[in-house]
Amino acid sequence: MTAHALVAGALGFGAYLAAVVVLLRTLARWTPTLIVTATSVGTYLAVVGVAGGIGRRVPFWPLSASYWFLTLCFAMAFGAIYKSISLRILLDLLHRPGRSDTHEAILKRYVQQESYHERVRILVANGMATRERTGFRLTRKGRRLAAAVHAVQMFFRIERSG
Amino acid sequence: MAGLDFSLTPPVLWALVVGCALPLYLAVIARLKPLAARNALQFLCGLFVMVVLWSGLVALRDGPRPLDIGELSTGLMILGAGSLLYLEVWGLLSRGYTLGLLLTLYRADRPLSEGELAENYRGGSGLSWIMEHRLSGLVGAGLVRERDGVLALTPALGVPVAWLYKASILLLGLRRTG
Repeated sequence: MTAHALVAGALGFGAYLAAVVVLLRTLARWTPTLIVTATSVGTYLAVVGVAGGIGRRVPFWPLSASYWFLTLCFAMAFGAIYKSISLRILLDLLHRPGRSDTHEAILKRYVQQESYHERVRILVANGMATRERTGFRLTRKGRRLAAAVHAVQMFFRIERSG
Repeated sequence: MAGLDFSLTPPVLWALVVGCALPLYLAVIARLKPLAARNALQFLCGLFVMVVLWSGLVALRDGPRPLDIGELSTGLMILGAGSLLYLEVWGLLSRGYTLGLLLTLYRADRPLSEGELAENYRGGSGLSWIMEHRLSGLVGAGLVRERDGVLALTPALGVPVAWLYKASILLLGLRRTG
């Protein structure tokens, strides 16, 4: 029965993957991170619901373990594809003549412009900071989040992030 | 949910207990002087402690009954899933670019212009730090080579990985990345 539950969890992951691919293409207004996260929980509840309703005793832990292990492996890969600066630099080089460019040009074009402006836009769009005449200022929400992150970093002795 | 069996076998129970405690190992490991500021190594050591503890508990506390491959696989997958979840958070705390900008604004305690925010990033290291940091990783992994200030994809590894990355973006239908 354990082996069957492990396979059922893997099939649930397959359904999740298919749903994510479809939803990422159809729900243009949702952020991809939200789609990937919300779909993982929704699919899991559906998988557990189906397993609980088939009339046979299905081991919960193997089912959940295989589903979440595979789903979190995908989430790690997705995070890298969606937000990794390193991978984005590789893609940038792929599109350049000779698949090469100067250090300075990449820094200016991508790190100092595209990527930086996108991150600042995210902070403002999510209500973490406001853009004022004198510059960027944290909102109350942004200050609360920053204080919480700072406290967790201090607890784990993480001095800087980036 | 009458059809679900919630009973816990020892390998699964120990995986849940030992896996939940990963932040505690990390908190202790982060206080060890030789590992100070080496966040990736700290996490790796935390994983090692977790797996050793789980293996020990399964071997010593489980009695003489034969080991079941399905139960062991379930235990290992619980440890794996827990580790990946913590790794996401750990990665965000130690490598998060957007969080780094948020914390730069928090530490400045005054409004910062776009230029000042970029200059003060990561305690004054500036945005170029992120380029140096990521680039050293890419060169170290053999994906990129740098010669006289020019960066190039390595044909054997860099080009295939870049194509794979591009294919993944297309497959997932992502409009914007990085």
